[in-house]
Amino acid sequence: MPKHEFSVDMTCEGCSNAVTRVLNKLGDHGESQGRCWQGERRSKAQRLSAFRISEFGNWVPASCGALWRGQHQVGVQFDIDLPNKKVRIDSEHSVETLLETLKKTGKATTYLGTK
Amino acid sequence: MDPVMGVNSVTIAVEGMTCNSCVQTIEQQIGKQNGVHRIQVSLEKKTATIIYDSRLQNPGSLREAIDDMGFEASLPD
Repeated sequence: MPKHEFSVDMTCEGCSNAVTRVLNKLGDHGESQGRCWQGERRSKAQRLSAFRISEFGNWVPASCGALWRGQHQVGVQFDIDLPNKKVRIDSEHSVETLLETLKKTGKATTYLGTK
Repeated sequence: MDPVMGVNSVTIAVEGMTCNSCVQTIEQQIGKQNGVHRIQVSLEKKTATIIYDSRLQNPGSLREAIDDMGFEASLPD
């Protein structure tokens, strides 16, 4: 899956949480298989504990932004570098979709290219 | 407020704001929306008070607009 890098003008933790939430929402629909972003495969029990049920009843990653096959899929894997105002996203979504999603936060966003 | 003229006000609870830049971002972003006359966001009270044209906007659409920005917005019960 392509890795994209964006610069997002985040100034505080509230902004990075907002980016996390909009990306989690983007990821709620989409089917793919992948691995936990910490790079190792986890047992089902470990995966389930890493998840929490959002208000819509979908499973969304609690901490590790993992990716795997299943009914409620997250199609987006990302990590946020607040000090450097960078967001790295590993996703099948197009750059336009990712840019549009990040811009919903109201922050200045530019695409830096693939990693 | 004068519902006949279509001017209404709503106060929405907003979780997730941590500093003034979040407040300004919300005020700018929601302030640009069609039908929003005025918006006042309070970091301390964690609320956004919006005066809007009820023919173009409603509490639900305003809540969703804030939610779309990545903040947890909820209407008072």
